[in-house]
Amino acid sequence: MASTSSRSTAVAEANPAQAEAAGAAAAATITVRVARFDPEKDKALRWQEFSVPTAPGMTVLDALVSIKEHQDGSLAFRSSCRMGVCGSCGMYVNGKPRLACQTQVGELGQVIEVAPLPNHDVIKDLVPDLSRTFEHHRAIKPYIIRDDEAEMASPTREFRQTPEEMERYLQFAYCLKCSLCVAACPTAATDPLFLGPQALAQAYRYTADTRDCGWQERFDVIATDHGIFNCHLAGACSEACPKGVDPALGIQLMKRTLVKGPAHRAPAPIVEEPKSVIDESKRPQAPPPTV
Amino acid sequence: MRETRLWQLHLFSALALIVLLSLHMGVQHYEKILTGLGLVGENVRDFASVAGRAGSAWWNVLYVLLLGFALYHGLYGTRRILHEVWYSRRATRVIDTLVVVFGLAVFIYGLWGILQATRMGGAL
Amino acid sequence: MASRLETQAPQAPQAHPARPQRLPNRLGLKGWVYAGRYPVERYLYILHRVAGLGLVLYLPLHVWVTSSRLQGPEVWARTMAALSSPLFRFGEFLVLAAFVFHALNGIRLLLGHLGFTLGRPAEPVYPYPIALRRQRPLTVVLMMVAAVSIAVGLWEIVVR
Repeated sequence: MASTSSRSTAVAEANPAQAEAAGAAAAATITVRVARFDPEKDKALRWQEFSVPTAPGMTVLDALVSIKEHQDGSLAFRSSCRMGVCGSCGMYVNGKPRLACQTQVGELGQVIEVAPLPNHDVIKDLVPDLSRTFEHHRAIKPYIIRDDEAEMASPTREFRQTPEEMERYLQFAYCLKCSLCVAACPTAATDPLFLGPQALAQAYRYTADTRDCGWQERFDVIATDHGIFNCHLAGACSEACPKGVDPALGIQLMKRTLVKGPAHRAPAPIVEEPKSVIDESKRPQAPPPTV
Repeated sequence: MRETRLWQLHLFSALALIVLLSLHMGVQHYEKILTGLGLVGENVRDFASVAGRAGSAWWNVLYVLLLGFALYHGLYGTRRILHEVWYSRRATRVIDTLVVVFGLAVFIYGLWGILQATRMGGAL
Repeated sequence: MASRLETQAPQAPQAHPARPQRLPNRLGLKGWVYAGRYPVERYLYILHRVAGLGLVLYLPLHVWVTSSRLQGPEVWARTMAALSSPLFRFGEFLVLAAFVFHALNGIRLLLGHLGFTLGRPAEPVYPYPIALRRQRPLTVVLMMVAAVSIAVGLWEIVVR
């Protein structure tokens, strides 16, 4: 607190007009309506309003932290990295599933409504139960499957894969498992058994990987009732995804693969043994350290 | 793999319906324009016109295909939707049974109608 | 290690308090119809569904009504006369509109499901590439064709 005030004094001395603007921005407050659910008392979500002073660059997660710090310590929410990498802080903010840490308060207007992710059970307040998403993700075997068990058990070298081959799945490999796509999916709105955009897109991510040959095993999991054919290309998942993974594209390409078979039938081989070793003896040596 | 086959048939029937049902709907609903282009005579819903089509092998083939594809396509879609709402094992079995029974009943009734009409068209 | 374990008094299995109730939070059927500010395809999805269900309900009725041709010209004429009231005319228009929309949107879905009009995976660099936006021109063209066809159909039904 002391450091903040001293910094603003310094700014005031340097440029009074700028300091005034900063002061006005700091004084501005927004209303945050937060959905609360106490599993020991409540039967439904109830809404609670907080008035939160804003600062430039403030995110919804910052606002929630501020509420927890200064107004109501009992507020529960999940967060970790606060930079859009861990996927913990998925919430339903102003009618759209978003990562709280990547959503600026400034883009949302005066009243911000924060609710737990829909299509997931609520554990407490803003904490959704993601276990079903993780179960579905595990079900599609999200790992490289190969025939050469000896190589998998004790790898000798890398598998051969060109950059073009990597581009076929790289976009889908950015998935955070934050489950925002499941919260946006209309099929998941009624059907809890539906594998969901997250798992289905990951099924494509591994099937399109040239190092993998487990497509048949994955077909058995996804080409089922409540599987891939319950995707009707509404596209909400891709709009909700905070990392540009585009699950809708992955799922449709997976359907294409179901009809046509995968682009590669045999898994990529390991790279050849190196034929020669670079002679390091003639390389110029770094000068000895002077200090 | 069974679900894949059913889905592929759903897509195939969609393709077939786009062609066949466009023909059927075009003749029934864009009468003025088609007459203007000189493609069909007027009053497709007069009994003579209906009976005329019933006597034509081509139209009867079209009607049987339309009935079959439309029933399959529609009931597959309905089944998908119902499975998304009632997803218990029991409900799934009940829905599947109802859909098959309903589909077969309507198909047989419609087929019977088309065959009867053929005879009628021949008599006229 | 072992001794430390032994010195600890074996704890009596505690009776766990019942796990607190989770709150089911699925959007349900409401979530099919409206879920927020999503792009047009999200709403074409629900229209497609409604139109499809409407057509499925209409099909058996249609088979049943047209079977009246088997009973000869008089019955057929009477049936057609009964169906010429404005209410049935409007119903007929709805069936046509549902078919035209379902068929044209279906072309888009068919191509999309088979991965023809969605493009290839791309590096997710902001602003993120979204496949359905690459399909958007096709969507717009098909919906314009649908609107014109439905308008012509309305005109045909009104002037008849």
